Amino acid sequence: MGMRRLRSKGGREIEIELDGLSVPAFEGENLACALLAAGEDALVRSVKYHRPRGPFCMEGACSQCLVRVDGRPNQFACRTRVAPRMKVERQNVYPGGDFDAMEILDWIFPKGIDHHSLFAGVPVAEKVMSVVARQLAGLGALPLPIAASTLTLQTLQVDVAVVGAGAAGMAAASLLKSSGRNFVVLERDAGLGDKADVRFETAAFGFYSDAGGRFLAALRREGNALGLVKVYAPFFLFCMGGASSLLSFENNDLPGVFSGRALVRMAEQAGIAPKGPVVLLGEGGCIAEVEGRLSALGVQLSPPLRFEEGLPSQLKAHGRKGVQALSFERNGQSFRMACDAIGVCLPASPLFQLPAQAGAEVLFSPVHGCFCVSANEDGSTAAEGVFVAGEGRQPMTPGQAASEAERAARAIAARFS
Amino acid sequence: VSKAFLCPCEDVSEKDVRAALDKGFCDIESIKRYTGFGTGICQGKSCLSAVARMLSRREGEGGKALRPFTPRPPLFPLELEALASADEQTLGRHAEALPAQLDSERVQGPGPRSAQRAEPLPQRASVVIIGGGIMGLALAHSLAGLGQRDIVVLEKGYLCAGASGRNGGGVRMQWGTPTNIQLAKRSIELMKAFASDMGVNVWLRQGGYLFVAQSAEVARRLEKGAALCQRHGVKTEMLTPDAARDIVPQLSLEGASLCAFNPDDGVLFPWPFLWGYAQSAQKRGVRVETFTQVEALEVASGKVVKVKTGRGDISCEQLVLAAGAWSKGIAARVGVTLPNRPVRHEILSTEPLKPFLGPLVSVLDSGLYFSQSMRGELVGGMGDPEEPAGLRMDSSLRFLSRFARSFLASMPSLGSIKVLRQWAGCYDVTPDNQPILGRTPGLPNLLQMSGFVGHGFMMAPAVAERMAHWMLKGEPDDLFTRFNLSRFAEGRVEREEMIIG
Repeated sequence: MGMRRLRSKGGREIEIELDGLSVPAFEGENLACALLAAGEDALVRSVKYHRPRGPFCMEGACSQCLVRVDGRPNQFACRTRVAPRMKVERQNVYPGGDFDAMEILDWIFPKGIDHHSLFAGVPVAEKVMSVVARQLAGLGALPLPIAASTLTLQTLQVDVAVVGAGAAGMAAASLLKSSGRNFVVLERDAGLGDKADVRFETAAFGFYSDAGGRFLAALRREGNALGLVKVYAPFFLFCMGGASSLLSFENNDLPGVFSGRALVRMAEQAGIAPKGPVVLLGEGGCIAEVEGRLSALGVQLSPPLRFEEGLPSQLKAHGRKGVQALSFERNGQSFRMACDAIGVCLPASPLFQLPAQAGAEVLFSPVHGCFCVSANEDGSTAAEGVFVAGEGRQPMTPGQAASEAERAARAIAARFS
Repeated sequence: VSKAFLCPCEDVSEKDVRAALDKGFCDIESIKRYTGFGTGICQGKSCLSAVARMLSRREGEGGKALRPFTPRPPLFPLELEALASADEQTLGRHAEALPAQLDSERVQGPGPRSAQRAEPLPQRASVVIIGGGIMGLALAHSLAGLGQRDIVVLEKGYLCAGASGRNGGGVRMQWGTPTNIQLAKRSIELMKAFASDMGVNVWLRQGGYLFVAQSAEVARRLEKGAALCQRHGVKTEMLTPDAARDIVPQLSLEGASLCAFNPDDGVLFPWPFLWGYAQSAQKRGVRVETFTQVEALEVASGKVVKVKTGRGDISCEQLVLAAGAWSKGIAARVGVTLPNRPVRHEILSTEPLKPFLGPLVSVLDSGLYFSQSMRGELVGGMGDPEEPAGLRMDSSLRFLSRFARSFLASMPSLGSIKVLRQWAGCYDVTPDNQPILGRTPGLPNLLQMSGFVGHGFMMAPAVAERMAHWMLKGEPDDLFTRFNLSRFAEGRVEREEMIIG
């Protein structure tokens, strides 16, 4: 495991602090990428076994890059921008830095800890365990008492609330705009697009109802200030995309095991990639997409492991503090490949949480291997006025997502005429 | 050491999930609770599909009928200070629950294929208990321990689906009536011995309960309660706000007039109690039937003779109604009117933090309470005087904001702590804040065990123990006459005032 910069990063070179030591970075870049590029692969110690972990999803949907930033615990490094004099600290580490004596727990309990039965009812041991468990529990220490400034609550009434400004959300927005509907697009990330149509850094977090009707609640950020937004609408179109799916195999939590999407994002947006060869494994279609985009940037790829060509067994990542090799068995033969990173390429799991809260049906799809939102051809769901489109409904390509979202937006617009 | 993880946030391995399946936790809600998967920072975004893929191999049609566990707001960790930025006036008032939202809490239903027992329900039983919450399961465990055979517990959802699985896990001896003090003291004794009796850890941590009073009226209530507690051997002491800050240094205590502290109160994990009681009851021959909905009760010559369920009918000699907030609806089917009102209470849990908070803190005036769990999360809730009565378990933004404002008024330096998850459960509220116990007037073999007003969890071990003795040994017990349903008609009520929220 080890990452390199594919190109010289633009921007001002600055120094930030990691556990008291100086680390070079570029102002404004992604913190997780900056730390990876500086050779800091293991950012996290896991909650129970204190195993070293590194970023997996790079999209704020796992817990493998949580660090303390400027006195605030459990910050996603992958969603933090590097700023001058930033103070970053690892958490859940005893005594500190990248050495954690508590890693011994992983060795003492090779088969894992069953917290239900461990020392249950054993007189003195139970008491001791309870005290030790309490002391070791939790991830971050209390935040420093720095209050954020807050923004006043905004309440919006629109015809259509679109959530997500990806391929699907933007296609829906352009159709709704041409049909003259009063709509808003909420987007979690910062963006440079037309701010008249899209509210950037406005992250929908829940679907609720009160005496005023059904509404979306969102968190709005302006610099360091935080506030709430309520959006009431007769129609909601969820285009929220998906999150990297996990694959269970031995040592799938080693630093250097990334989702394929994360490898693409890091290479394309931050310009960093593993130093040595990468093994992609998973579903053929997803591998092809990741393979194409990584090789275009000169990332070194080993032959991929496509599950369609025979499901591997005994899949295992090797390495002490980061990936060094991958081994598996297939058709009675054992294989071992040296590599610097592993890319898990599975269909992204739709972010179905908000449509589900709004009443849409969510069922497991054996074909895609993840939970998908049940929707009609036009994107409508079991809940009145609630539509879904794109990767937030089920796995698909950005092109499919855009045309599906446009279709849904057209169906919504038609309801007004 | 080589391990394969399904939920890296909470270090839940593939082996852990397999162990849960082997123990009979086959539906996704139960697996979540038993293993802890999906309860960490990501709230299931990356792990849920992986667990479902594993389950899909056990279910029919590749798992086509599998549903995710209930997705609870917020979608990502959300700072309390952001939630506190709006007040309840601007946030607006509660609406009636949407059918969709009620439905999203699937506490009932057919259940997973693999969880359905192959064998049918027994056709008859001596005792049928409606409700597989802590009341019903503790009673089944106690009855079977005294030698009672042929007990069936009917639970419409998974274990922990109702209030027993949704509470904050606080247990306290500080009450306003002698009976409740005695029951709570006995319960805490039983809880301390639970791990050795049942073989499952409940992680009881006696960090105390710190009550805060603001108004003079509440302060008087606290003093009265403390005096009563002391008479019954509880170590409650009255503290000045400054002395309380020695216990919780982050407390602002602005506006606080008086505090009461009992070091022997504490917090625990509610879920293992249900599993422990259920396992022990099953070992003693009790049938615990989850995902089994009661559809009707049959009455003949002044007795309940049959319970009709979605999976068949059971004749019974005695029927115990221990269905929490659902009890009123079930009693109504045989013409019995319970004065109970179901009232939603909301609660939340934050990111896990290193230990910093010893006691459970409760501001009695506002109904705010919070404690730190053994996993490090802050767990807290707050009553809402404007909450309409109703059987609903959806979540509201209004609660998040009210809680955040009230919590930050008490703990002003913790604004950047993030909420991970909010949910709700129903208090089963009675006119005098006391339970409904004993025989039903006019239907003597229908035994009531409901109306615990949000504190049933901590009373259940003691109440179940006494109820089993009363039922089987015929020992007279004042508990079952004093709290009989007839007290309302007869005007014998003694109100419990030490209710949080």
